[in-house]
Amino acid sequence: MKPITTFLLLAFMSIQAVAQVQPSLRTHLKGYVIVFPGVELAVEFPIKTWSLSEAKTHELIINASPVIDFFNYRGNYNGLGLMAELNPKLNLENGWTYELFGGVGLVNAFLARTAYEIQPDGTFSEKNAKSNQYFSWKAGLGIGKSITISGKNYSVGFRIGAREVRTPGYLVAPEASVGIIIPLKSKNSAQ
Amino acid sequence: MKNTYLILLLGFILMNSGCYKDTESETQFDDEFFLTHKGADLPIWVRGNKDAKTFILFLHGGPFDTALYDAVVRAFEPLYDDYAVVYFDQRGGGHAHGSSVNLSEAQFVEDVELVTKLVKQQYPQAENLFLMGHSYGGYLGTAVLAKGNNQDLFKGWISLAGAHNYPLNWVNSRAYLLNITTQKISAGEDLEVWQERFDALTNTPEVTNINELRIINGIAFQVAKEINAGNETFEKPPFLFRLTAPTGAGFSQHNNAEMEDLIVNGNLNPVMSNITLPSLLIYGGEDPIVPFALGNNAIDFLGTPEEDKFLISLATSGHILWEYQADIFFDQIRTFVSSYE
Repeated sequence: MKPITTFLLLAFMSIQAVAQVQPSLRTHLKGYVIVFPGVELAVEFPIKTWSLSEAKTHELIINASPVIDFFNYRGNYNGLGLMAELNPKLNLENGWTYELFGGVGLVNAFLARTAYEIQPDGTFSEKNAKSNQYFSWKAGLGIGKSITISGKNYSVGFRIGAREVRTPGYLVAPEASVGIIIPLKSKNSAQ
Repeated sequence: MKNTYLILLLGFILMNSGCYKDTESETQFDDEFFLTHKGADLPIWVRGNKDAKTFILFLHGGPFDTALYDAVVRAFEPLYDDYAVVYFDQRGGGHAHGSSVNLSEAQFVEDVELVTKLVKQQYPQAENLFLMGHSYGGYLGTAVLAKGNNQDLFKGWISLAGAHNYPLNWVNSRAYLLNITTQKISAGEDLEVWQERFDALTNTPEVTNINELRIINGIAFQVAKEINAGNETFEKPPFLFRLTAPTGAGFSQHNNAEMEDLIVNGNLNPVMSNITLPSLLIYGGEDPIVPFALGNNAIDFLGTPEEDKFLISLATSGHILWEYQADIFFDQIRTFVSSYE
């Protein structure tokens, strides 16, 4: 694979509206961007926030969140992932946010099409719900801006990074994501 | 919750609004399924004419590359009107799933046997099967056909820049590269680059291990990119489509000693006399990766009667033969298949 292709395949972008320090649901368009666009649904549960620095003009925090995500790669597999994510963020007074994110976890990949297995009599039978487990990681950086919609605070952001699911070919799908994250609780929280 | 439903609806719409749509229609296949066997799940894609009685089973190269790219960019579309084309990814690479176990020539051969049987079960109308392999797929296809009665499953063999004898291929590739580097240096072209290649080639007089292979093969890919530039006749999909299309892995990824030994030392010449199937061998005249000279070797060693084996040189074609001189390439395949189906 060409290095530039590898890099770009690694890259994914997301536009997201982030609900801070509370469970949230997000959807992403992802997969082989133009060729095999898929969808990701993820629920993240920030369980810990460390405040490293806080001043009138900025706030530096780290979020730790388990994330459950479900995503689809058209025609190949449906992944159910459990990731542990760390998310350092620098929130500025003017509403801009700069972040790093990284996570590791496992993906259970359910084959998206019927699988056939040879039988002792030489015929093939269908094998349903066939799945495999793979290690997965993701990392990247992002920039965001707080907005308020209907009284709720969100962050619209742009992310670029990498995610790899270690299938036998170690194929890395580009994850161009256009998504929305919404809070699952009514609690409002500012950036 | 209203927002949640909105998001779910958006997700559903996005999931089903992909820009990639293949040719599923009343007349064209767009079938996808898996073969599960010995720890691996091999994805299979069937494209082409639903009424066809002739199916062409394509073996990708690599090892560990992918056939999915060829399927999504419709590399063999000119064959879709008359035939069905079966693509699949071999274990350990591409979009195959499962574990990277049993990566051996014998297992790869067994996988092809089972994919063939599965295709026959799923498509009873497939009266005529042809096996077509590219590069390493040419090695694999040769190994499949040379084993037992496997060739009885097929009506013909199509080898595209087939690398059935790796030691000879590295000799040929190195000779091709030395010739072209000498020419470039004599012509005074980009002297530093070509001299560096020349020195690397002269310092690697033979390929006896994977590191020496990487030197020769690496230079071959560099040179191919330069000498083949601008010769493509295949209308590639838009840049963004190709950029985000699935790509294959590579043999370096696995560091599998058995497969590395295969691509250094694998030579099927001793068993090729077992193959008596009609055979079409196509090589590119400007392919430094698997040069045309290997085709002469295949013609010499195949057991196929003289009148049923054909060696074609596409003078200005590179390694991915169907991307150059496409009209001649597909005409040759159609002529061969129609003669023996």
